[in-house]
Amino acid sequence: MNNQDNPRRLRAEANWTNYIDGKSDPDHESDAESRIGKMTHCDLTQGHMDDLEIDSMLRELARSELQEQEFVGKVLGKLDLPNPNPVPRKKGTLPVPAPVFETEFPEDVSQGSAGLISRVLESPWVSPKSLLVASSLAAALAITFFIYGLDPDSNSGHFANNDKPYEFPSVVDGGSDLATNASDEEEDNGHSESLADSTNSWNKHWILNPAFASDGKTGSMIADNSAGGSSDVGPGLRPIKRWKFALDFDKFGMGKMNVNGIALSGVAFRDSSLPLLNNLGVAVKSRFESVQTRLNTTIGGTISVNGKDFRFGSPDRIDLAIAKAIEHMSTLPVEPMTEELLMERRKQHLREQEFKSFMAAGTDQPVRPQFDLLKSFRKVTTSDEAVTINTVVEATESFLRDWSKEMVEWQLAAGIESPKTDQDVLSDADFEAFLTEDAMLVIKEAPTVRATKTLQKLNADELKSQLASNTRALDIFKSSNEFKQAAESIRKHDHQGVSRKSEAFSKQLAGIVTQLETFAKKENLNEEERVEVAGLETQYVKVAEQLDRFREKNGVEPLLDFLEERPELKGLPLVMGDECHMDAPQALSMSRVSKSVGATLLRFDRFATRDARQDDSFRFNMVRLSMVQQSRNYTDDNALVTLDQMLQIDHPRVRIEMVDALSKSQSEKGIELLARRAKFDLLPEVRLASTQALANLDPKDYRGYLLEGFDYPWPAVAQHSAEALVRLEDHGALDDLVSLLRKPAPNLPAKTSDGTFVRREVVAINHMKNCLLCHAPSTGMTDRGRAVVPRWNEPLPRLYYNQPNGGSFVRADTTYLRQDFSVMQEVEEDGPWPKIQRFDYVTYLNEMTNEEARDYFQQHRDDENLHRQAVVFALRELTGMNPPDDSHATWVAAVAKFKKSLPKP
Amino acid sequence: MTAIPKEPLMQFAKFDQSKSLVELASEGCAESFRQLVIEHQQLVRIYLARHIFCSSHLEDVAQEVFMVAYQQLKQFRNESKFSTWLLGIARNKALHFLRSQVNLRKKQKQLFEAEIANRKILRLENDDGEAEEQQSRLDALKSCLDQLPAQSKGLIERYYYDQQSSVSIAESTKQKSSSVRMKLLRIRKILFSCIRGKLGGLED
Repeated sequence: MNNQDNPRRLRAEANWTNYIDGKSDPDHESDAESRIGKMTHCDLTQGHMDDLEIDSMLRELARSELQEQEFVGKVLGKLDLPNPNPVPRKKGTLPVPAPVFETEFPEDVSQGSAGLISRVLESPWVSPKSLLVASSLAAALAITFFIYGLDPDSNSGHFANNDKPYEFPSVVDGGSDLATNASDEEEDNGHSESLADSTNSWNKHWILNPAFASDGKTGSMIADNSAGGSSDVGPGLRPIKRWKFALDFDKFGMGKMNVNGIALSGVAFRDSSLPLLNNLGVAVKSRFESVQTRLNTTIGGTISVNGKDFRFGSPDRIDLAIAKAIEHMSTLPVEPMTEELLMERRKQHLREQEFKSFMAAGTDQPVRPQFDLLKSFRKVTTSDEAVTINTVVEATESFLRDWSKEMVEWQLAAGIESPKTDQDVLSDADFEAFLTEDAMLVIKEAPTVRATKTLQKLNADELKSQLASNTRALDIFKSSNEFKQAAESIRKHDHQGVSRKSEAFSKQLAGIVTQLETFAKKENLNEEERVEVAGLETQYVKVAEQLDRFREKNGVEPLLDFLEERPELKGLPLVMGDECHMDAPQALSMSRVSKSVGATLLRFDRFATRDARQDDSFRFNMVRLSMVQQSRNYTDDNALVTLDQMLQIDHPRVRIEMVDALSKSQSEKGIELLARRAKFDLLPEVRLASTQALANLDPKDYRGYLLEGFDYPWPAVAQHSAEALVRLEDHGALDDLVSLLRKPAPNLPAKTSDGTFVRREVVAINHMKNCLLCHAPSTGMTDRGRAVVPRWNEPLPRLYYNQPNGGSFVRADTTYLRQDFSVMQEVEEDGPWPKIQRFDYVTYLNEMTNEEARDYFQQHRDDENLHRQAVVFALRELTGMNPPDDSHATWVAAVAKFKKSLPKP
Repeated sequence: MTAIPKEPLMQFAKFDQSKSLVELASEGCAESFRQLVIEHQQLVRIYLARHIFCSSHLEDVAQEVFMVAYQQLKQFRNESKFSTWLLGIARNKALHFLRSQVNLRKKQKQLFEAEIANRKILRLENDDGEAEEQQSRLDALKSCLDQLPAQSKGLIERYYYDQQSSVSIAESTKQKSSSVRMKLLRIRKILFSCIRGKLGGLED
């Protein structure tokens, strides 16, 4: 009788099933069950031991089957014995692919080798998150990657891209180390990684899949492999390739690098290797992770510095290996080098002139100081480092592409299917594209279904052109003459020190308020304290009146004077008084961050090669590094606001990196800024990144900011807000959305309480021409956020924050006008300034007469209500309902019905 | 029998092919030792799993067992099976580890864990023949697993092989995670009884 049909077995199975499902069955409630009824300490211990023992045995049984080769590799590795069958690690995680960006800076279009670094680092394979991780780790070193395939019992015998015989690595020797935690093993001999962290997904498939485990096919296939080469019944040898990137520093800290024994054209200084490895590690890691996920294989490698190896078993361990390599680097003795000697040794590699100017700008010392990673980040942007990165990444991709092709062929022959496409795995199309030379030009859509729900069909350029055609520009100065007069006025203010006197009054007031607050906290004041409070109140009024008189007399807020003369500017959302002034800590933080970021970007633009200048990741990394070096926490609110203000018009990748930084803060301000990026940024990729960051937060924290977007006059912002809510699947916003259906479009004239009409519109303000519209003049060198006002007839200063003197200045710690968003746009008359300039967009309250309002209504009566359409889009996508009409009442009913269908929490 | 890859075959050629793997390994044939590790790693690990519940510690000890075996291969005489000799090393290593655990746990005031380790030591010290029946135990475990109903087997695969958490299993099967954990507990109890029955010569 077939064992499967054995009645006894069937009965036993039924009994077990009943028991396991909680239905009592005395026949199978063994003594293990009854033992629980009389629990003594010993019994309890024994009972636990039984369960723990079986649990442990089951775990180990699974591991011993799934990770046999890995275990063998570890043992052999510790004994320094060769292991020909390295094993794959668990499936990696595909980094969130960043989309290819639209070109916002036509002057920096990638071309030729100059564009390579930009292409590879902007490609959809580079993860912003991994960049952040890698940013703290870098060195100039040698990297050896091993890629090993799936079949644990096959062996290639040859490199797949050349005919060199396969050699077992002399130090690492086999994938056992590589497949595990070789980096740790190098430094901490004897330590082994927990098996729980290294599931071998291939082996698991191999064992559990009946096609491989039960019908004996595996055995025959492997037997064929063992015979060497392809056979009629087997897939042939699994391709195994090894990619090697090596570097050695000499006594002066100059590093020679090579890939697979082929010398690179660049040379790396040890003190300039931080961003080199930073970028290299990120680029290589993300690509290898993507491919290993796609092909269900594992990639490990070795990083070595001057012959010392730091191994890693998979790309996610590369950071550790780099960190250890850095430690080792710091122990290498490096002799000081004179500039002459340096130049002599560099001649064969460098664009000499560029490097000379770089060195001259970098230090006044003729002798180069000792190696110091933290102080020398700026030296990374010289041409040869960029060349090195280009070469290495290019070689890596080429290697990976060749190997992938062979692996695909092998897998096809072996009948192994690629993993199903999901958000962790590259799609077929993208993988195919990668296998071609155009891989880096692949446009990668966001990996989630939600992200495809878009309403806004315009790209950034089209949105820009929409803005340009539908908004008017407001300038505080109409001509250069007006500007000169204003500048002269400011200069006079400088001499009078008006602002500082005003500030003294403000401080005095703040001191009085602090004392009053102290008394306010007390429940009962005695007579003496009451007298003191009364005195303070009197003093406060007195000082406040003095301040008002002083301001009135001296025009401390120069903007008020301009507003008197320019009534059309009164519609701007200006803030005055305390609201426009930062307190001292805020101003100090803003000043430091702006100084640091500004100086870094200046150095970057000044010294970077054309290659590096196009590298957005690189650029943002420099910003971050500069702040880290100065112990600035770029996640505090003040720093975030400053970063957002400075970088929102920067390169697309920089903005995505900034989103990442914003998402780390978790503060209210950080969330607000994230939401602003999600609704205001013109680039869908940045909006998407922001939305994904918001997805990790409580919807209550960001919902309000996104809903505000529906009230913004420019319909595109409402559309962006709708998309964000849909992607976030924020069902909690449904009621608010329904209520928005009853509101008129925010760009239509509205009647105010006094009977007049106003219409909100978006206006553009040229950022560099209107400093005085937004900021107070700076009257002292110690003013925080002091920035020079550019002269219209002269080229823009390279660094306009923290210029010491020479011109008119504003102070950024006093801000009358905050833009909603900023965009770089072309100007018709650029003069000595760049063709592309920054424009700040704000909402403007346009007062209208009754007649104007009526005319406007009549002209736009038949316009589409794009705001309402955005609301309806969000409602439809969030509920999945499509009622016959979009009236408020219908949607009230539909949303109510939808809510009932939601599972109760 | 797992095939021997091409490159190691060249190594094999240097050695007398008529000798056993143990003999070849003791003469320095790395590939032979590799084969020995492959053949015996499961046995050693399951044996250790009865006494060491922490997987990372278990892995370390298992590796040490093979390292010691490699270093002492020349001392191995064919008086017993290689697996028995290997499990003897494993027993000593496990005892050493458990003793260190007792001290450590006591220092950390983890008396329950110390008690468990103590009992494991007692059992190991008093049961010299346990290693002998290890292969039977392993076979019994596999056999009992094979006899599990499909649903229970599926749960075991998902939990132990796929390393899914009880929460994720519960989500996908629309159960409470506590229910999943309880089912796993009951399955383990059944397996325990089943193994004991098989080792005791009883039918299920």
